[in-house]
Amino acid sequence: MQFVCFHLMPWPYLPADFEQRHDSAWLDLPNTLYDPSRGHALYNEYLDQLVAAERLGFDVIGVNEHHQNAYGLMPSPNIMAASLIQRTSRIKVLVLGNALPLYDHPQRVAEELAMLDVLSNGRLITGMVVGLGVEAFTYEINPTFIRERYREAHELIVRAWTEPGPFHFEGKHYDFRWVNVWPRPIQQPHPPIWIPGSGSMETIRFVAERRYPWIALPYSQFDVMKEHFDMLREYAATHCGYDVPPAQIGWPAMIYVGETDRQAREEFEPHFWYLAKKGLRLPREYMFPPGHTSVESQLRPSHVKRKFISLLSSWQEAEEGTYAIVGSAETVRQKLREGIKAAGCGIIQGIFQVGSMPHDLTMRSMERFARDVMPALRAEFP
Amino acid sequence: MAGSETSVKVGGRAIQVFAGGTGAPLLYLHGAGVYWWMPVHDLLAARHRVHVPVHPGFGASEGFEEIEGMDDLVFHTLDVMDALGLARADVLGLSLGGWLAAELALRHPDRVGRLVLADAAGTRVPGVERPDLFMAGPARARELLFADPGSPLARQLVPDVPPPERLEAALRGREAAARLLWNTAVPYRKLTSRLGRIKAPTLVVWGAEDRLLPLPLGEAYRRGIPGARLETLDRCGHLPPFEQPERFARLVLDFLQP
Repeated sequence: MQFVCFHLMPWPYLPADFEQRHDSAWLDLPNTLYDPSRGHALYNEYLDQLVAAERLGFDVIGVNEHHQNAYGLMPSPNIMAASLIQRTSRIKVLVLGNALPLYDHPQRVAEELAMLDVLSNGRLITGMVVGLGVEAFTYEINPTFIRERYREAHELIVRAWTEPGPFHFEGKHYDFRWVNVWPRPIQQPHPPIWIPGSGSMETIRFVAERRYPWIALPYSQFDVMKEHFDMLREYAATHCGYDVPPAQIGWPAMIYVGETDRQAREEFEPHFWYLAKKGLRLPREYMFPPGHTSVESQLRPSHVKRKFISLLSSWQEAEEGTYAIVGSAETVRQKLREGIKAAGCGIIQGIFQVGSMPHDLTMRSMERFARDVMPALRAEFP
Repeated sequence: MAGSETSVKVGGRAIQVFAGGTGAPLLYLHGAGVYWWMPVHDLLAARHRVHVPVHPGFGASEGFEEIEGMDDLVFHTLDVMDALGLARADVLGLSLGGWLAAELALRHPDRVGRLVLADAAGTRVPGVERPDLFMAGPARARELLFADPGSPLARQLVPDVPPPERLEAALRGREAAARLLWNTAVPYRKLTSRLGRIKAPTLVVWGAEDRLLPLPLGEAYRRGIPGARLETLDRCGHLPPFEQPERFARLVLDFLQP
């Protein structure tokens, strides 16, 4: 079992009447709501939390990429990774960006990730993402080309890392006469690639064919996520001729460990709703521009059945759907144990700081998790 | 009278075509949202043979993967005209179809007789905002498209939820529209600067209350195309052929009289 301590780096200071005044925390949320001075302190707290994860015994620390929003303040995850690499020595660093289709120059992504791999002496795990639908608006990228651009950029980057340069990459969307990445990555044949995804058939096929670890997205019912894991297993077995090992399946879970179940819920719940109702406030049309998710995927029953976290109306509903793992150490152990068995996963991507959760609560929960939960699960799921 | 539905093969792909009436041919190039025979087509078909080819990716038409942008749709439309036996025709385009019609007249003047542009996309005027229909939910879309957003017509053409049997076509139509209409700033700028090259006699019809493509964008067509005339319809939004079919058809038929 690999334990990831993952961070979204949210903006926790949206005003109480935010929902009454704004339809979205993304794209057109006025950036005057962001205060750079508080932002400075916040970045440092968030980085401290991830650095602490090395001392606490996690295997991986992770960051991701999102744009123009209060949900996550990392338009460039590579910059965060560079900072983390300098402040850690053993732990692996996961960059669950870059959003390849957003860039007209995927060579830049290949270069920066290679830099991080060399800088960290091979501690980098890369992610390659399509980007959320709303991010097609951010950079005016035609969403009907996003999947094609993603595949082409991915191929270009992997080839740039593995084939001697210079060579000519000839594609439909990208054509570079001089692919010649300096520096080359230190890990051979190339840094590991993990792919997050919301469960579209396009992504499931893509990861199955390449045997990439696949990390689900954390904001729908556990059962829907599990269906997607089953689809990956079934597709790999029937079309690619192999059984997906647990190490290829990642369960992203918001986790909070308190002293008791009751105290845990009291401490966690306000921050959960901050995330659900503020940070993830996002109109449907922003989320699903045409072409970003294929018509086939949109018509699939699991897509229709999925209840996005922002639509929840009670804590009971959140608990029943296992949107978060919250409780005493014993409860969290038990819930994770059941989930790991059901999901068949070998990666737990824990999200500890959630929404507006302050530093001290986050650290205490992480420490309890590292002391009272992680070792038992390691013993049970080696 | 109702249009008959047929299919022609263009480059091996099936293209859905509605047609009706007799008389001089009129090629109707549809917009991004309504790609079927409407009452206005009956009115136009009283004096013309009206052809309504459905663009690739919309309705039952194949070949979306061949369309990367407007230039591909222009070439495709030439092939459709060939398949329909139209060496030359009067061309009427609404919205997206109006942009297509203007590009066709600009690039292939021999194929276009007279030109009618109804609330046509394709022009750009500094300072005139073009709201983004792809960011709009159904209620906001009705506000942008219709002079009367609460009318039965508005609810019929832009329902809150498409009926189940039309859902897949509606999703595919949105995708086909986004392929052509996502980042249009550069192509619109170029077309606007080239309008002086259009030779076809041109009528521009615009809904005075078009909130999607406001009237100054129609005035840009009138200013740019030599000899063009602009007719503005009051109490009308982005869709004159559907919101005001009689007034619209009368203007068009008068303009197209030999």
